[in-house]
Amino acid sequence: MNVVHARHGPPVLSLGLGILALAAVTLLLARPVSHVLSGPAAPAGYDVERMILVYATLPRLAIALLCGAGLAASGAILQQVLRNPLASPTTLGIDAGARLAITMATLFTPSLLGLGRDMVALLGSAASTLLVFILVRRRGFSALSIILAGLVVSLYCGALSALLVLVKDRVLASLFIWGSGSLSQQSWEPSTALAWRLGIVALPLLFLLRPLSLLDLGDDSVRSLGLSVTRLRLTAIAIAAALSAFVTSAVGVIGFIGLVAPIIARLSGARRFGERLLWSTIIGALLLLLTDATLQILAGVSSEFVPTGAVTAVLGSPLLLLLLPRLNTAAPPTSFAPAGRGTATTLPRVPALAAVAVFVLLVTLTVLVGRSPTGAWQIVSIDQWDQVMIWRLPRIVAAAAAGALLGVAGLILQRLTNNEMASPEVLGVSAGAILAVAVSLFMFGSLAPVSESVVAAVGGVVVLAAILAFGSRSSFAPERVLLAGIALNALIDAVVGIMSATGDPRAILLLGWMSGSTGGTTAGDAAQAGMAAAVLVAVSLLAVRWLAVLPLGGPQARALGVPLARSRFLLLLLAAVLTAAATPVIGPLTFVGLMAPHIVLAMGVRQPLPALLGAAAAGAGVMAVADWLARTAAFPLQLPTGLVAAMVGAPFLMVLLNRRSTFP
Amino acid sequence: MLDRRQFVAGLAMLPCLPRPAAASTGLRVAALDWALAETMMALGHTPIAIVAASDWNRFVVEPRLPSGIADLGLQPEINFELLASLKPDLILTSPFVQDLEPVVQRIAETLRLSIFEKGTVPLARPRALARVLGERLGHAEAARSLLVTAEHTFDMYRERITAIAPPPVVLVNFIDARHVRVYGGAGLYQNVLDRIGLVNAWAGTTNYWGYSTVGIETLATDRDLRLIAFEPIPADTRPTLQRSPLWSRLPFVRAGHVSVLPSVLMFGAMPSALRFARLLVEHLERLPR
Amino acid sequence: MIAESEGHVMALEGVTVEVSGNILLEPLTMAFPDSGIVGLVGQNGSGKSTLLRVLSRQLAPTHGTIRFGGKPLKSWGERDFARKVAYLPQHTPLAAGLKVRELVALGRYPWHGALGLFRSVDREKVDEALTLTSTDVFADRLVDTLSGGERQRVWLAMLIAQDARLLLLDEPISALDVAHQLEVLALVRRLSQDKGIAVVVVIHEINLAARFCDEIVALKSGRLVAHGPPDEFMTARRLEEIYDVNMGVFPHPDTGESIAFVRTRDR
Repeated sequence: MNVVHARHGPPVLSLGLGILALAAVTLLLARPVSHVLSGPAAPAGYDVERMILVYATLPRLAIALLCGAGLAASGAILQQVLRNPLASPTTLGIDAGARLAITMATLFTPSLLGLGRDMVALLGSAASTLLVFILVRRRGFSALSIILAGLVVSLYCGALSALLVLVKDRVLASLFIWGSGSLSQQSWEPSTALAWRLGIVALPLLFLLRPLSLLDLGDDSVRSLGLSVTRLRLTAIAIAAALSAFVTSAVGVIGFIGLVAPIIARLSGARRFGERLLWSTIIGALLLLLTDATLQILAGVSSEFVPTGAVTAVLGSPLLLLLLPRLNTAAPPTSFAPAGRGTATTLPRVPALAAVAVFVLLVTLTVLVGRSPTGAWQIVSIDQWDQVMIWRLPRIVAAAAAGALLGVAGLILQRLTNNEMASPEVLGVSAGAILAVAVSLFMFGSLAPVSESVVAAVGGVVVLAAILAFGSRSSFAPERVLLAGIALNALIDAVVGIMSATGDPRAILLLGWMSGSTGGTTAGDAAQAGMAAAVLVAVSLLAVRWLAVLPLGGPQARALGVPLARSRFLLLLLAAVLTAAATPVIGPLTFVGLMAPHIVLAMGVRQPLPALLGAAAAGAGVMAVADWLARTAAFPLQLPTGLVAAMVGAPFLMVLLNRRSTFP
Repeated sequence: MLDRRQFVAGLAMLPCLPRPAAASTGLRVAALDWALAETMMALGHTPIAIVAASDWNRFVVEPRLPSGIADLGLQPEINFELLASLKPDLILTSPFVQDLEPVVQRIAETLRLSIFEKGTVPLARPRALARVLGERLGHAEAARSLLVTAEHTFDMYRERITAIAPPPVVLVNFIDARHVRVYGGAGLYQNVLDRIGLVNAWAGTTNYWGYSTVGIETLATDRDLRLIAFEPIPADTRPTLQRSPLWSRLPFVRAGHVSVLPSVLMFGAMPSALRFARLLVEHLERLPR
Repeated sequence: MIAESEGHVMALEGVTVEVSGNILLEPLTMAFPDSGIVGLVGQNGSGKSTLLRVLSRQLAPTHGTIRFGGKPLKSWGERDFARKVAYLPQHTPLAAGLKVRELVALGRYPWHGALGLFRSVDREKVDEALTLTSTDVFADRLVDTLSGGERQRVWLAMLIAQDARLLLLDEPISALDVAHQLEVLALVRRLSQDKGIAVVVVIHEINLAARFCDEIVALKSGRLVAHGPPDEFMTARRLEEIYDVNMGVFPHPDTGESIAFVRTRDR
């Protein structure tokens, strides 16, 4: 009985979806079609309803089907190749790479069109995909690590896009529109072009179908058939990335269809890869059609411009949350063994004294060196000291304090989850802060009546409570909490995307807030941040014993008498409070929480106490340098310190991760 | 009453027109918003520093920014060290930068002026800005004469519009080849249209700020109108639209009723309003009838 | 039936484990002695690991009570319990980046807790554990650079540093070759004798269990099949009962101890 059900599951489901989509389309088309049919056979002049039907509404339906199919196929392939039920163009950062590339091309080479833009999108996708794989290479491609790396890359691309919009396109802010794909059409050209591209890219899939199905049995069985697993994987990933890149190039980012459709296909009973690919594609196409048709029907009611891509993300990200319990995130221990073995044996142990000296020197330089009002480089002189330092010192202190807070938060999270890709950004607390500021900005006619920091803190706390409530069900299993944070991030990103897509000037204010500005920090603010850092880092020191034991894993920690749920809860709470304290100062996006623990590790520090102090110092140092760059690099322009930290930090992080991976 | 010739002559000189330095306070003023900066300059008082000076000539276009004005950087990320070193006497702020007020108040006194306001008489805000700034900076006379000249100029444009009786207009910015931002509502452009008696053909809703982002197909209509697009226009827009029957067969497109105007500051004040009116009227007059 | 009595460290009464409708452990009433080595044997899925996880409080029983040291198991504080009972899971974590001494020192957590000082008595216990397990020679090496046998000894050292009365070991030798299996079991035996520690160990190999254990507990499909000294087990009937495989027993050529072997199917 079960078997019968499973065999007919996907067709029945697709039929249901098809009927729903058909109903929505009928509702949408009823009026224009009856108008066109009842009108004169050869209408004189410009028949608006007819033209819109033929050249806007119908092509839009077609492109919805095509985009949905392309993205769903891409997701199905990725899930198969990576053996990861959460893989998709969205969660792997492929979307984000294409979007960033198109944004940059629009800004710097605006004459690019047609195939040129496709190539740009392809390059962007390829780059971001590559980045994700470089990041997780050492983690044995475990499901969680890939998703975390995907999120990091997405956040990085988003940060870069934000910086570009702020600096280059502030007045029009038109680039937001690429972030959340709109399916609006004016001719058949885009859909025919996309159909050709998707068709050509998908053609090799026919030959890969069987080898890819064999991946279900494990790499060895593929290899035993004389196929190169690596080459097979790379080819399939390239095809998946291309499918998604073409869609992004045509309409912008359509979030989560590529994740949701394959999961629905799987849950409805499509077992073999061929079935999954076929039904995913059909379900994806119908799903996007249904969403878009519904959106168009509702658009008549609301006047605001709502991009379809953002809507799919808003609907899709909670699904990620719902599906989490079904995901087996515990990677087999073997996948960790080659990565971890011998990592630390050859690492240099930097003497503590030298590290402290470098830190002090660095921070001193960031304080002393700056640009004069004319733009000349200078070391601040005694007679200017007072008037320069009332501006410079507070922002450096605040940035460094925030860096220390995030560095410690990152260390705690990485130790707690035993995952070196964990970072405060991922926790969702920052995302909650952004959402709160966004909502307050957009709800109250013009600007928030209360201070943004207060709003941000409230948002952070609410999200924290939600995460902890969610986590309590799995006794705070760190992976679950991180994944919940990822889903939350995606949801919030989509909501902010919808808010921004209208081009509302408040989106720029939001962007400014998100970018982590330290300019205008007062001595009072700095003192507050410094105090928060001192107190919270001191509190964190109380947890070093837990941080030593917990990486041994839940059972071992419990056997040693560590209260598992309580210690995880308190550490998560601590990490969240550290993050919440830092976010109003430096914004939600810096990667310093990810970076600082790796700097410490690269220096050969492993024990929790020195590592914790080191992470605080490394975070502070990185932020001080980022603040200095933000002040001086584009003078007289001041860049947002938070984004500068992300820009500079991410490549640095790649170097750190890769340097360690070269050890046998 | 001035006659039309004198008006045209006066208009050309407008940016540098009133220079009654007598009553000027000579204050060193930093403007954290372009609308305030352009109003100041129209009153003959050059700010010592403005935000995003490097973008001024791209988005405000006229008047060209005089040299020697310090660039304070991006509006959300003002260079405070620089601003403090310039020792201004007064800093002009707007609701968009009100969060910075506690900070810049450490440098100098601030004056916050709202640039945008919904549901008032057309151009009420730009007028109020000129008046208040005139009072505060000691250019009350210049402000009065700016406003009188402006009203006369608008009246004149209104007459000229009546004379050529153009079809209704739709004002847009092309965001990409598929989307436009269309203007109306309470925005500056609509204010100017109302003032000079041009009809906006856009009947759809707009947001609080007086514009709306829509797919280009929303512009399809069989009515006669003139589409006016502001620069910059993304490169692939024109060729893409030409290949779209929906667009190329539109009556107003076939009739060639599509114009491109230089960029005009959307969140601008009286000078931008006057400049927009001038560009629009002169453009419409130049068209073959 | 088995009340708490002298000589019993762990007493179970009607202990059942059910996970999402599957019964992993049928109602079990038995007691573990407070000294010597008890071997847990049985097929895969017989409930050995489940029982061990229940004893170590990794898993709460669905029904029934367990008393440990005269108190209900539940009522023990985390660290108090960890001072008495040490547990080694089947898959030990990688412990990347930890030196041997650092890992062994973590065994002192139950004694100093999250905030207490690492005193000289802690240091002595760590040194003693390193010496006892002969891991002191590589005390400053990284754990993840050691061989499987060495690593298992290090983990045992950590359990010893924990200074517990009862060691619960889940298949400590399953990943080792024969020589290392013997080495580790001999170590456990020696520790049990020298320090008077009780040990409960899951062992797959019946002959090794018989050789090293004082008592054997056999489980089958979550049910207790037999509990007694090794020689009671080494009969063809018993073994067949436990393993569902046709088995025989012959005397060891050197020692005369009973050795189990699998008969060919078509006898």
